[in-house]
Amino acid sequence: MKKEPTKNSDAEFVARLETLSDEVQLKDDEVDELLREAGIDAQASTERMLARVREVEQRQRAERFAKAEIERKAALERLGAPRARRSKAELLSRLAEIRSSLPPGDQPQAFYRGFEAASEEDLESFVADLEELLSRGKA
Amino acid sequence: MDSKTLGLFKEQLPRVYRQVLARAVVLVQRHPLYARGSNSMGKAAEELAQEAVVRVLDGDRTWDPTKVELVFFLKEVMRSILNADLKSPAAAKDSLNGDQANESGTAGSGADERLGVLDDRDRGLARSAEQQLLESERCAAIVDRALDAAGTDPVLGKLVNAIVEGCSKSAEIAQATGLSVDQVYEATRKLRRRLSARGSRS
Repeated sequence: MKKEPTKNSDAEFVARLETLSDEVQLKDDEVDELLREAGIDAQASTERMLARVREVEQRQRAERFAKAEIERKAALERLGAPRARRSKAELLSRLAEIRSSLPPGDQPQAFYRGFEAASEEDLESFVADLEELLSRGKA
Repeated sequence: MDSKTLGLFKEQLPRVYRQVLARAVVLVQRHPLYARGSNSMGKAAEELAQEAVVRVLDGDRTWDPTKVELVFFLKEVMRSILNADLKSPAAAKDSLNGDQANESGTAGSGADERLGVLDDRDRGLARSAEQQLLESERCAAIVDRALDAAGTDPVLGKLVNAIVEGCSKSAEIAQATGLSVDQVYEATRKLRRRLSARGSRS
């Protein structure tokens, strides 16, 4: 070797060597040697890793369910909360407003010939449901 | 990570996991302090590899399969975990405790304590200096072994010279030496094997 690194550049040399080594894929025999040296049984270790993956997925599923349950309870509370009484005219006006804000394919469907024929109670409940869905972006 | 990428991740993971474990071993060997809480280097490597997988599943790290292979992606995640751990206060404390354990029973340290010459911060700094010394000795040994390993092999000689000159990427080395990238890869593996045989990992 013509040019040897000075002692001061040893760390830099090793850092560059490690960067290069990280870039180059390990061959099977190198992998075997490393795992053997470290006392790792690859098969058993892979099974432990897969078990950990299943644990994480179960935890994530439980967290999603817990979150959905909290949202469901909050929605029920909102629906069950006393609402300001609105006149039939106000309800019909609010319904028209909601319908006009939605595209034709997303129009609310209800088994009334015309909403005007619905009772005030049914109309109140229907508008409240729509408002709840709109607030959750699902209408 | 979207569901399609997550599916690909879970499909590829068992196939590449041996490689990931081997990379974890290399990283832990380079930084033995990381293994301080584990029974063994192998256990620490396995924990590091598992932690990287969990971080990806939890969405802390996002894999883009169009840009990087899974093994290299997980290797970077592991390196990041390891670096963060080594910079943590817990690592500094463990390093300090190790130092105090080494010093216990020496007349000097007891006298220093009585005189109040050294406080914990001073000990930490002293330890840091000691670690730096050990690290510089490790690096010097690797350099010596790399030069020795290159020996009279002309390709390895070119590779080591290029690294000495400041190259660290295969493309740079190929350009600097006239070797093909595949030759650089092969020479790097040869150098790794020779260093390993001489008791050093790169």
